[in-house]
Amino acid sequence: MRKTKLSRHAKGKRPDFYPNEPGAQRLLGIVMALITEVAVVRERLDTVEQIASAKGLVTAAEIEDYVPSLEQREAREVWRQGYLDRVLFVLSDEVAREGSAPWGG
Amino acid sequence: MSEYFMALTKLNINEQAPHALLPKGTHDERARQNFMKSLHHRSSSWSRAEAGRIWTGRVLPAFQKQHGRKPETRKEVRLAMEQDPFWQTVVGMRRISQEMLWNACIDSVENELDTLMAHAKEVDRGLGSLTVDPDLEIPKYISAVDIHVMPGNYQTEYTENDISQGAVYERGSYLYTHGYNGPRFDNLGQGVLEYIQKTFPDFKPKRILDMGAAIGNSTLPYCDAFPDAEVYAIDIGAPLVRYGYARANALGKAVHFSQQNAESTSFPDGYFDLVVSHIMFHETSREAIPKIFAESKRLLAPGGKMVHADLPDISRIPDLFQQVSVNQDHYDNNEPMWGSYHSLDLKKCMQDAGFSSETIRLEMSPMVVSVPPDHNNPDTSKTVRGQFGYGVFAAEA
Repeated sequence: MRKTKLSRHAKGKRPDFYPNEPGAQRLLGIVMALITEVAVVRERLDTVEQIASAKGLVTAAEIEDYVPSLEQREAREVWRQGYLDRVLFVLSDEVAREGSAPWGG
Repeated sequence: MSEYFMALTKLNINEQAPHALLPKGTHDERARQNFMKSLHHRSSSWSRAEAGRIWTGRVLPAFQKQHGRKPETRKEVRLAMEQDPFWQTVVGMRRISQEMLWNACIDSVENELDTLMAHAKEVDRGLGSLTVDPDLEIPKYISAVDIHVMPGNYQTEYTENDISQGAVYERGSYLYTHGYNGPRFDNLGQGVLEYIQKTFPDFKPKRILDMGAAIGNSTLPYCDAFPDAEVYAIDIGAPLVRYGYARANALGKAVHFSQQNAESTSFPDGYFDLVVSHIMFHETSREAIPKIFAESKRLLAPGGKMVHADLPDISRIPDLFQQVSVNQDHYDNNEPMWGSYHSLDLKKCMQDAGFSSETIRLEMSPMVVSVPPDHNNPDTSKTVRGQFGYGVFAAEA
């Protein structure tokens, strides 16, 4: 069954907060997406560490020496592609607006 | 420092109360959503308090030096601040975090849509009713832009019997209001209800209409406060009323949801004793507002009451910069009506709709805010009240 896709591009002109520095807002958008993803990783890692230490399961050396399987490597690549989609959203949004200047103009 | 002010300055780590229609999200989606709440809260509070220090520290002195006087209008303050790199960055961050916030919720809804649609069927106990009107004309003030930058707005349908936008709205609005609207997202309704009960202590309405009710989040408190009343909720968006009906059933509340425009409804004359709305007006238009008042008048039985709540009167905020900060949504949050809303003469609008002057009230409902829980005080249902609440405009038929 095909998944229903929802729009991620809000209708309406995007405000331009840096009228004299056209690249600044694009850069800000990317940086903010990146800091979010770092926080997401940090939260997952904390969950793992809490569960693992509560059960006495994992040592630092085991994490250091871990080798993922082919299936796990594939899953990680799928995750990375989604990660790039989110981090670069500010640019794909511009493309979705068919090349029109998204910050006024 | 008052408990109310403390509640607003400390980030609210309340968890939203789960129910069958609310997307669960994967661990990463939940982490991303949690972070968006923090990031949006940070940039919003910086655009008020920290930007206020930038204003008094360097922008205001530069303005005075250049013009030889203080600024006199919000526009002068705004144009001066728009040249300042700190302001540019914090309002830019606030806008971008808002875009990211919706997208973080859309991911969960998209992934779980089949499950949520199945849940909507399972929880249907026939409480209240649901009426969708596929021929309803969507007014231009709704179709022109996606309000609050929520992609798809209130009315977009992606699939048959779609509830997506209802789920995106409930999860996203909770994060967008930083959890202060309560685990059930109903503090706004509670505040207006408290106003009604205090102003009209013996009032027992038999039929209640909530206009522009979205998913009925502010409507449900009326079911508890007036258990013998029939409660109706209308909204322009089909996905919202479908979701609202299923959500009310999941929570065991009977509400009659229908997809209707508040300017002109299908209910008979004098059908209601109480007509309410919760921050709907500023998302309509100058042309729609007189029609909504006239419709409220038509729908009220003799002695019935109309109580609408919307943006506070920002001219009551003494500092011009703080007025600009509160007003920023008009410029970066797809709120086309917000700016001119403040110049409306609501009293005259109500008089023109036939409400008599002596019954007209322009007051405030208390701002009900959930207290952030901590390990010493884990109660997530605790609320406090602030004096500077929503603007209430009320009248009696």
